Amino acid sequence: MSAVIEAIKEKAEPIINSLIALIVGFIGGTLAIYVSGHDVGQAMYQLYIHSIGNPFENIYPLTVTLTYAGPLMLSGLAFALCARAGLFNIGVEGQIYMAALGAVIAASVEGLPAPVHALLIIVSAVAFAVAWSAIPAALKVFRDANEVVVTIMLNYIAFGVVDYIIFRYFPNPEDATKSIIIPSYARIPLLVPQTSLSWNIIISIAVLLVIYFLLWYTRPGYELRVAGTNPKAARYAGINPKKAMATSFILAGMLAGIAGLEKVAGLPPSYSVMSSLSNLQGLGIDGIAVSLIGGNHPLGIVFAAILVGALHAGARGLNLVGIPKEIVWVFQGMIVICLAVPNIYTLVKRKIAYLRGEEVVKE
Amino acid sequence: MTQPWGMAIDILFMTLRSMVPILLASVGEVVTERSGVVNIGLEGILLLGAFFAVIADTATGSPWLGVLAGAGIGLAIGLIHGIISTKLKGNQIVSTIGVNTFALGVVGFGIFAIWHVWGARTIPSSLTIQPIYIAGRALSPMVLIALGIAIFTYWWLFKTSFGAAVRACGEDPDAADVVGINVDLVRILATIYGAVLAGIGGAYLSVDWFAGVTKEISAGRGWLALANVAFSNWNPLLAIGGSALFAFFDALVMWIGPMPQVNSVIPQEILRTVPYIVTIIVISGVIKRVRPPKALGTPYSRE
Repeated sequence: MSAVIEAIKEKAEPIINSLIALIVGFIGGTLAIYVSGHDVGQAMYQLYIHSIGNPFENIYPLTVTLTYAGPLMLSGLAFALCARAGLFNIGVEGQIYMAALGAVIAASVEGLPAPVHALLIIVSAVAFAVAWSAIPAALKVFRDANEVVVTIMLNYIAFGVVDYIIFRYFPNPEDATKSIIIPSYARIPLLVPQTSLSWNIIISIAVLLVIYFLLWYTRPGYELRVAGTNPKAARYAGINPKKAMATSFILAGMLAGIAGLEKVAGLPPSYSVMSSLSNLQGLGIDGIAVSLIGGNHPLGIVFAAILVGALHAGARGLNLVGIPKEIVWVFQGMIVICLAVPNIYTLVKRKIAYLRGEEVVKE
Repeated sequence: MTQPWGMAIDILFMTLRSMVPILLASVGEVVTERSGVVNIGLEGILLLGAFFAVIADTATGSPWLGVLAGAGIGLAIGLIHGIISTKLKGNQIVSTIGVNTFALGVVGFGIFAIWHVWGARTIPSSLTIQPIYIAGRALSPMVLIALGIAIFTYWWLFKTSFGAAVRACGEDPDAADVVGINVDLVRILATIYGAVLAGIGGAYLSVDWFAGVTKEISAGRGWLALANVAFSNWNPLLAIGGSALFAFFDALVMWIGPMPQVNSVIPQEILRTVPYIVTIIVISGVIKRVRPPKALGTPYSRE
């Protein structure tokens, strides 16, 4: 019996670690709101009613949270997959820009039958993202180039290139602040009418489950995880860590491609790319936090994405009381810094035991 | 007739100006990594340094106190990251990814919260560091200070016993421990040193070069610095050359970008990506032959 409890405790520990980090991040973010002179109670109320509210009376706030959560699951998973293979892939951001470029270029093609055109848009978005992801993969495998620096640089390059090409060659003739629009037959349909919640969320969860299965129930998935946790042992067991690296980068590129597609083809009302890529920016960065909060685990990522999605949905409310949306990154940054500390729970537990011990001595 | 020379000197001065933040951040990171700790939060520290420098500058009217504030925020971040990387045996990459995200949040949020403007706050030139004049051209004293810090850092890192202790912690912490060096303490100090220099580099961006702060002011310079650390083989003197190379491309792009004859061939948006492309080429082409400190990135624990 006690063995079962021990096993549950062991499983629960990463969850408790994440919870502690979330609490610290939340306190830090709240402190920033307080220091800046805003009414904390009012801010928390806005955060709550715009992300959850009362779902029995009005489901809308919750649909906004889930709308944000859909693409976040995929950008988080893209980071997690590489992390599992021992790589820090910061390049999801740029791969998402590239996916958007691929979608927009394909959308500009004329004279194709609707289903073919829709398929072309999907394939093109994913192909662009994978191609962009193949660059750090190749440089890592063949030149052992630091993937963190390479992917960050590629993000800056992607921003410059994508923003320029889209607004130079594919601007919307009726509205200069956005690109040409994805045709209606190639859009991801709405899940709940009168809201922004589309099939994105279903697609994301389905993709997550597929990746979960791949990682834990197939040989390549096993090899990828072993190569990440212990490259020496992997080599000894005949696993090629370079192959695992390349596989994780390419899969991450596909995930980023789908995430970008969800943003461009599955999000009403714009169904396009906004100027300065404003409707895409930050999705890759947020994915890192989502992945780390979710313990780089596909199932943890579902919850983490909903949580960060709720933060974004709530931030719209904060905007109404004059708090910029960047506050979300204050929360996230502090959460991630805490998550860097392993076994934060054990440390806290030891500290408490130590304090208790001291009290005993005093008595 | 003198025009080609004038152009060359223009480019030289622009390169020196662009070099400062990259050089300060690289030299600091050389020390941090030599001690065995990696800090990929340079970009975030530059951003935070720029932001807090403007706050202190506008509050006190002294840009030098702004620089001090930049150093101060660097110290705070360095201390936190140093402790996480040593005592708490944390993941150094994750910790500083957090720093970068935190910086994006604090600066984006703070610029609006304090000054009620979106994304950018400028300061009058009277509140910036006043230039000195060399051959009739304005030059920031920060250029000389940054070069001085690089040379001084080289001296103490390679010629003093404290420098030897720092390097020992990065190469062979077990041996360092045996001879009585407090590995964790040295690493925390080295991490603070690096973060303080990055904070000063950030302050330079806002209270000197750009006369103001925006939420994109660091523009990847922290990442260029990180690439430069390996490019200069973890050597503060070589880091001067590396920074000059990265800065040269930065300056070149700013200089030729607005020219109409260039603009008609390559648009500015694309031209601006050149320093990033150079960085990728440099780290995937040149860095093969260098070797990082052996214990880089691993917390030390006594067996």
